[in-house]
Amino acid sequence: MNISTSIWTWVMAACILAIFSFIYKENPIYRFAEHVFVGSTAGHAIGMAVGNIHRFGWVPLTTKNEWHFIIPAILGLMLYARFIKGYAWVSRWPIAYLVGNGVGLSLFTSLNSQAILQARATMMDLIVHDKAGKFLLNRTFDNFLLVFGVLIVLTYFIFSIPQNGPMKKVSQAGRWLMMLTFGVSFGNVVAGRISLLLGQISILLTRWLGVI
Amino acid sequence: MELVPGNIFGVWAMVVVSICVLLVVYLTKEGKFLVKLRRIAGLEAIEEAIGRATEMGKPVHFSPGIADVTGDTAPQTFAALEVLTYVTTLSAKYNAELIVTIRMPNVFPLAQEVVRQGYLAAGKPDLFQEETVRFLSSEQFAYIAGVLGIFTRQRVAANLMIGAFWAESLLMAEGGSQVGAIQVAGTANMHQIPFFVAACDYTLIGEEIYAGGAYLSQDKVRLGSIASQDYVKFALMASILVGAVMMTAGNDWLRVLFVK
Repeated sequence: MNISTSIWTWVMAACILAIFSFIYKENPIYRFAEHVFVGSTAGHAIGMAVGNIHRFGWVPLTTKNEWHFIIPAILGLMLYARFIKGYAWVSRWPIAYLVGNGVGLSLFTSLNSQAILQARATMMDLIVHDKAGKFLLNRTFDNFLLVFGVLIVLTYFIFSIPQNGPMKKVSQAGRWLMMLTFGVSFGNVVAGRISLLLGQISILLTRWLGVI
Repeated sequence: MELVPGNIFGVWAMVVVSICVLLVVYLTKEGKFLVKLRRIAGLEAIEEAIGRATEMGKPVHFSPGIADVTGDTAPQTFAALEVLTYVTTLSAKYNAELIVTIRMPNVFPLAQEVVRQGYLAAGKPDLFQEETVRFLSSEQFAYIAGVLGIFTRQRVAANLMIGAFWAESLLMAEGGSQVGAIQVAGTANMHQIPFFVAACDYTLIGEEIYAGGAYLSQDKVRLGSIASQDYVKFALMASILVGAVMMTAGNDWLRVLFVK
């Protein structure tokens, strides 16, 4: 056993154990760690924001005469108008600018990456042969499942057409298919989370207690 | 101006989709086209959740996810804010205490405005308090630590999570479950839905959150938008089927066209 003598390793271990104490129940030690965590990250974010304003706004504006940086600076200041009685409406303009830009920028990328490229990737051979012309049953089954699985699941997400008769059956099949996929995904991620837990325990045992 | 190879089809598709959306929205708005959405159980459960919180005299928690108002996940944040409008209206109607927790600084003024306007529209502006909408932290796990603290200290009776969530989804859903809150969750981040399905009472899967605003408000413009998206989905489904059949026949024309 080789217990760490570094004060910061002790602080780290105490924070990990304090957060883990929530597993038992909410308690003052967890509450303290929570407030330190939330407070320190908020403080860090403010520090980063001030640093960014200085680095990407103030410096180019004052030393490189890049005057166009005055626009985001003004928009940023307009946000604070919400604290001035009678002028709160001014703060809506930078928000509108931000939202408009966000929507505009994501319009093409969303359609392209989430619809067009996905549809293209689903256009697959439904009967697969190898180079020698031999029929491949496994690959054929995989491709059938993928193509018709996507079509069935998409039917579930049709909202404006009444789901009666065959449409309802297909939609329900889509729901079951999704649940099956979610089950597999859940198992995979739980395994991943256990490895994260092991990582934290490993840190405590090696860097703090030095037993392994 | 020249279109970048690889984006040509995408740009034209965007133009066609936009025209389709505008046309259907126009026809719906003019009353020439009637849209009725199918039942979405998760959205209907929101009223039940808020009603239960009111009966218990405990607060309702709402999280619009942890995404910003820019980027690919921004539509999820906007969808969440639309649901927040409905949640605020119901909270005002039942006099239930509402707590909205925020991770992204840019979302904070939007959420605050939505809640303030919601209370105003319901004729109860006095219900809006500065601490109704709370910015916790822009750091993902500090945000969730703060949310868990609120859950346990204020014993929330209803936990509504609509928006883009990542690794914190299960932590939040589990925290809500531990305090016995009725939980309605929804996200379009498919990798997080399994956790919501496992830990929540009702789950909105993927695109159901986008339909939320239209479903809850029954606003004609939004209903038209959802209907037009359904037609685009039909077109994509047909393309996939035709493309797969063509590929089987040894013709990759449609597949190549999609990346032109």
